[in-house]
Amino acid sequence: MIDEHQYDCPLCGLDFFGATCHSACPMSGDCAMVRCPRCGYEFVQEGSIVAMLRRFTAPWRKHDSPGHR
Amino acid sequence: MSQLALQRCHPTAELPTGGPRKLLLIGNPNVGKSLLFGFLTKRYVTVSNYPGTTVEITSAKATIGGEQRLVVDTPGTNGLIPQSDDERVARDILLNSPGADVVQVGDMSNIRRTLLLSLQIAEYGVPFTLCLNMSDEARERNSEVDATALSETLGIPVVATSALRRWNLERLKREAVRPALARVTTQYPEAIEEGIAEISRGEELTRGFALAILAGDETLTPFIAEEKRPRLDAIRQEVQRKVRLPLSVAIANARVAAVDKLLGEASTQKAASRSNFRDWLGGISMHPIWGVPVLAFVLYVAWWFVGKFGAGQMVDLLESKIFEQHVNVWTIQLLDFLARFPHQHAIEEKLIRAAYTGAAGLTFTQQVAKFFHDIVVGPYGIVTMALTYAIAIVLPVVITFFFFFGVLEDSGYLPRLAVMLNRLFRKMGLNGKAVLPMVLGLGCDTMATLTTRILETKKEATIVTILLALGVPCSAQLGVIMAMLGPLSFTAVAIWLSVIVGTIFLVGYLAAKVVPGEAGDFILEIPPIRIPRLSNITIKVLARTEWYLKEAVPLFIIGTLLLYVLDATQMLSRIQQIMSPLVVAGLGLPAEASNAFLIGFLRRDYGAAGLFAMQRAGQLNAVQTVVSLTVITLFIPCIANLLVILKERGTRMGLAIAGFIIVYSFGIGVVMNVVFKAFKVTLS
Repeated sequence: MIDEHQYDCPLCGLDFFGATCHSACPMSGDCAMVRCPRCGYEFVQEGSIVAMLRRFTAPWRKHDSPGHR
Repeated sequence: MSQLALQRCHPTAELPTGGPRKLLLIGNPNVGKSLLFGFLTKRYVTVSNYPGTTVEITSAKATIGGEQRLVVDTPGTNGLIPQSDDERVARDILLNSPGADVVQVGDMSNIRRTLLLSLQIAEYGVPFTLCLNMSDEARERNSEVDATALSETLGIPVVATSALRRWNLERLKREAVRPALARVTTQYPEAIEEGIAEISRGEELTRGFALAILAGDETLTPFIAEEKRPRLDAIRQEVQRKVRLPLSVAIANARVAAVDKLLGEASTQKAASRSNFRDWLGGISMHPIWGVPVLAFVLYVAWWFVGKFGAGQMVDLLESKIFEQHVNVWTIQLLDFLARFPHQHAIEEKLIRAAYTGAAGLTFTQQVAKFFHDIVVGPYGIVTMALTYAIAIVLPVVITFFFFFGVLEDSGYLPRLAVMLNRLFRKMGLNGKAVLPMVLGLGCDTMATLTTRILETKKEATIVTILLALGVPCSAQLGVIMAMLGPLSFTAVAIWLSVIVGTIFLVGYLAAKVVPGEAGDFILEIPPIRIPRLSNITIKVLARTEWYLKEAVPLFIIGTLLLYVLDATQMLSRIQQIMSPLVVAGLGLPAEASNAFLIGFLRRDYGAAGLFAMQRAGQLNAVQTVVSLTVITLFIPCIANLLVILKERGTRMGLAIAGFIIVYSFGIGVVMNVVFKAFKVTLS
């Protein structure tokens, strides 16, 4: 999985773009986890439910939340 | 004179005046300034020659930190006493741009060279933000710098970035428009300090400018009024008479010593700076002793919120009110209508149940109907077992746990937990690097197992792999475990916790004995303690819930189908018979608990959900719950984790680890059961 979203790592605070899978992971290429390239902490990528929610709430939101952008 | 002097003396303005405020990128050559410039601006750039030189200056307008800026990429420079045209241009732009936001870009691997320039910028009284770029390379070379500690020492924002990998660039944007005056002062030999004071007398001069005069910066000569030159020369000669080394060398030496002192201070800065309640709370959360009661409090809140609220009220609502009374009833009635064969479902509390009797002597068509019926709504049916477990039992639990975990993440507690555990394990003599994978395990055990590659020896990696698989459940699994803990008494919870923590420390202690206790610390940027934002947590909960539904539910269905096949082929009762000496006699559990351990191989939370369902149905008393919960907690996390263990540690070692974990987890359960029985413990 490779994407071009920007993420903030909840553990070490790094902000980074994109998420690449660890090639050795058996779930590689088909999971929704994002791995921080610095500390290795894994967290969940936003899925379609959040994307849909964002679309619905876009007119009322001034800024995106800091966790995922 | 300083900046004012240069403004006054310089013949022309070098960059467009008016328009948005400037944001200057200044730094040593080859530290990635241009890459950062490209990221910050992302638009058409203006390239122009600096007046009177062939040096090219790149600038472009951009929105940085929500504000308009003219971003200027200055030529690389090693110091503010110029040795070339490039360096002179960089210095002149810096000093000719009062009010500009200045970002010093440095190479984290070459921190001394970076800080030498930082000190000089500070001496000119210019507020700035320090960007420690190429942090990815520094990390690979084991020369990473703690940006938070350095920021506290210097008193300016410091951001560790990698322009190449686009790390922390958004944070840099935020901090770039918040430069600060560095609160460090380099102490020079007494004669030089006197010279600085003498030059500055009656003039509005910064230390930087006075030092440049003392160091013999000839590029300044044209800008000094002719009548002042003799006096400044005399001061310089007088100071040089008192200092053995050439003044430029003496000044450079003092700066190098100041940099070394700064780096030493930065490593001890954090412990000293606690100014308010949040800092105090953040501090004790990381303390190897006081951090333990904080962790106990966090676990207590988790137990109450997830175990009592999530596993109590929320599961009651979904399982008893929605699934048992509606979803399962309607689906059974629908399947009974569609796939007809003679049978009578059990009725409990006026509600139709999955179990049934009277299905004997069926024709081939009825057998086919029975097959489809059982796959969906049989005792091991997709709806009556897999979806009931996944959605009615586990989902409310994991949602409440994800909420709680989101609060932990957003509050900044997790990195502090890592630091606290690191200190605790180091006291036991265990390598600090071994702790990080264990904290990562709270996110995903499978990935955390992969990160054991950072450990230097195979022994270390093996021990951490065992620790991860034994005692660190991933977030979804921890949620279900919390749910089972909910109805238990405080003593029962304390026993379970003691066994798990005791296991981690026992293995950790043994690890310390067999693994050389090399320091090998990790650097983790510690964010401030924050009040979590509900909107942010809600988004995280939704994202995790969606992930859980997509990843866990299919495995629940596969596990259920496996049970169905085993049941249909009479294998399940045989397995239960085989496991009976262990499960019934050894662990003191009902024979049906074998099913939970069997499907626990697929996912530990599915196994735990099976035990949780038995607990809710009153099939497990408190002692049985604690015993089964301990076994399932110490069990291998999931099939993916097992595959990674085999892959990373090799088949033979992987199987040995898996074998050890299975024997250890069941062994501990048997010991607990025997002890409870011997002392007639009821835990009620």
